[in-house]
Amino acid sequence: MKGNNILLRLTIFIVPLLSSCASYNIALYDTKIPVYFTEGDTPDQAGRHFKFERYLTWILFDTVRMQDLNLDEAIKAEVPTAKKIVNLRVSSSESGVDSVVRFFGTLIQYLLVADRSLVSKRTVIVEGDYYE
Amino acid sequence: MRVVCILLLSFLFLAGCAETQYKVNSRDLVVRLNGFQKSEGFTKKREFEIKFRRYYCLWGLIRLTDRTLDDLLKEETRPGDFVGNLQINEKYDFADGLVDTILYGLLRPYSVVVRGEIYMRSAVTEPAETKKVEGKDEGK
Repeated sequence: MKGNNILLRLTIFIVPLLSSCASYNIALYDTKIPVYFTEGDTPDQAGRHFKFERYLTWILFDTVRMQDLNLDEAIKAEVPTAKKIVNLRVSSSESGVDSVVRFFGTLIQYLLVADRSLVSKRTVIVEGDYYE
Repeated sequence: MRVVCILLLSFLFLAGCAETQYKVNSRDLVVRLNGFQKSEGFTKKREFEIKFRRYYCLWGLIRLTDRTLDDLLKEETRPGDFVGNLQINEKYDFADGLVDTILYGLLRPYSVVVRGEIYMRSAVTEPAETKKVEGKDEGK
């Protein structure tokens, strides 16, 4: 029984070490409209500003991704009429809510002697200007 | 009591942490998240991949080292280049986990991989975007 307990703790400790945890991609795969980090060849008139958030969630010490960042879908949903996106900015952090989630994860983290939380969240903020 | 103190400290430390930001301020480059097409008059010159580690201390509360997207792209491009198909991947790999585990979160590294393609305007097409970039260069 004691041996099983040590084995469980070792597994929890080693598995996150051997896998790429908390991984996410900022990329586009099938978006047809041009999405610029810079101004691009912008028309003279000012574009309309947009800003949206997406939440990423990982469980089991950051090894299993529950909510992913799909920028193609997000752009389609948030700015469906956009013909061009410029001045893109992507930032992410663990916000207050994410921190609370991490807090409870940390509680279990200390009990299980692992250095990653059981559940963690990250908020990704995407903003920029678009032209219709 | 000790556990409660550690948990409270962790809660305070972990609020709003491990921040990242990707934006391009450079006026010399045109950077696009998706690719440039031949039909738009672009030719792919080459691909690039940049790997680096971002370090935080105290479980991600304080960012120790970082490199902006501008800095990274400056290494790979020349003024007037077009960067397309940009992909940014953030992960916490084996080495990151090892350092993090040994130091118990006091130093927390994250691996970042930036991939992309460098394009140039084909000679046949009149470079509307290039003109704009060159115009801005002249103004500097």
